[in-house]
Amino acid sequence: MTKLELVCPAGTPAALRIAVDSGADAVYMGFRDETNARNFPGLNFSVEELAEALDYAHTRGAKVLLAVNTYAKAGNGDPWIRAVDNAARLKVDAIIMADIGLLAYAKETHPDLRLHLSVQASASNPAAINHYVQEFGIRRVVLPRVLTLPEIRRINERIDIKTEVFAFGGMCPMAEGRCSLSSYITGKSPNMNGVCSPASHVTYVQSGADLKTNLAGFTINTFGPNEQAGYPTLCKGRFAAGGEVGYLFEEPTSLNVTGILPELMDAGVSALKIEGRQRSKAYVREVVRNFRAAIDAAARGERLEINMDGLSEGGQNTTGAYDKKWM
Amino acid sequence: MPPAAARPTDNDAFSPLLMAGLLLRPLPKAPLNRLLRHMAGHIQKNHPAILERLAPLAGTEFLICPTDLPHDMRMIIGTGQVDCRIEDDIKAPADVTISGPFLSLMDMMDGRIDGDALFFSRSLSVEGDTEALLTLRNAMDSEDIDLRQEILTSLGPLKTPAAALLNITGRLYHGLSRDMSHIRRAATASLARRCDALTQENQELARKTAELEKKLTKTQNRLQVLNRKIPS
Repeated sequence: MTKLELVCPAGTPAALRIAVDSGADAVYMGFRDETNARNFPGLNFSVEELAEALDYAHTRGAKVLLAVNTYAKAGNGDPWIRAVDNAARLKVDAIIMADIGLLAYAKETHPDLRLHLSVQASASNPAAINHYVQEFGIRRVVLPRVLTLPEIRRINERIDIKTEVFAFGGMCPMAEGRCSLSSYITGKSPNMNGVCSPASHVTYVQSGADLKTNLAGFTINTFGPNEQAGYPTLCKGRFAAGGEVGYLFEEPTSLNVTGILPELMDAGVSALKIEGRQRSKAYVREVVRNFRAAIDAAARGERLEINMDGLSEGGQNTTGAYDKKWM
Repeated sequence: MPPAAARPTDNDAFSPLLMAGLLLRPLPKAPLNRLLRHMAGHIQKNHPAILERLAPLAGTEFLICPTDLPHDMRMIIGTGQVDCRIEDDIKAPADVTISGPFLSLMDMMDGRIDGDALFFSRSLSVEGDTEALLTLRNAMDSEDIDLRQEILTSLGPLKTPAAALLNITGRLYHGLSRDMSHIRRAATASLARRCDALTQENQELARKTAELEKKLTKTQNRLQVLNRKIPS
């Protein structure tokens, strides 16, 4: 078994430098517009900053992957085409995409550009993945977080490209690329606009010792005094139904797979993706260092489970669907 | 996913910083404001990329309120510049208000602590325009800024003695923090025990109330079924 590749997030140039210095094998980022699924204010890279990032990472032996993973807007695909052209011109190590039109454009116009299939494409079975391989020459697929370890193993047995899975951070309980919760309540979605629960629609209201989280005018959670808080996403909202109040989809928690790296390697996974381009340098530094240690340990045949509750939503971690116990 | 946070506990505010702040409160604000302006200018000059990221916020005002210091700070984002000043008596509302322990705020701005983690643990309180807050956080995080060094640099020829003083103060601070933490725990131990007991009592009452409500709902449902069965 080959060593797992550590793919780390960079929302800013400073985060990229820290990720590389902390042991990332590859760093992924997006341009400062709606062509990527983390289109948050003040975040992301200009074309010039990407050029500098490539220089910094390549000098230190790390790869740079560019996410152009939202779906091009009908009637105005120019920003997406420009992003692909810039990626090819600057020679990024790979581009992460989901839109089949863009994939076709990249394959025809820039045949040397390495293509990874974004989780936003939601390709979760061998037939879908093989189709992307045959039609667009995809070299790696990022699998949705809804698959179990046995399902991942079965996929790996039936495809000829590498698989990357999420290893730490935000836990999307939905099939990525198909979630409409954010757009249902705010009109904006990660798939089309690059934002889930956009900040422009979020307000926090301190009500006595309680913290109320409002999204688009609706209160979606109330945290009691000293209760660990979570993100203002509808999937982690707390609802009242049938006389009971509770989390309908999922409680606030973060993914952490440091404890199951041997099993992921055994299932044929090649790369681990740390979620969190919207998180700070401090988060990147700690998570990347910990995963570097855990991956190196796994390569030696050891298991190193590292607690990172302090960085996690709700102050708790899970192995999510990989270790599914509820079905 | 935007960050934010919750109200810091009162215990966090009882620190050597609070005592030092109260002692320093009578000092004139003019030198502090000069220092702040100088520091803001220095950061803008050395990290112009931050201003570019802050451009959409022109005209936005932030109120930064350290819970363990007697001074608050107003930060105004202008076109191509940022202005900072001390504001003890808040004269006008700001677009965003951020409250929390001073050192946590400093560490977050420096990129030493993750802002979202502070939010999860309820160490910070934020109110107002979440998008503006996020833009500021991301802009500050995009560059490598050491606020302690920026403050020292702003002191000009006093930088070297100030750095030495800061080292001594840092050591004293940690010692004092421990001592004050002991004092705080001793002073509030009985109250904390009482609070814990009340919390448990409250939880038990809430559980019983929920059970009773469930039973009531079931009884009401049964009654409705029975009512329907009785011929009119």
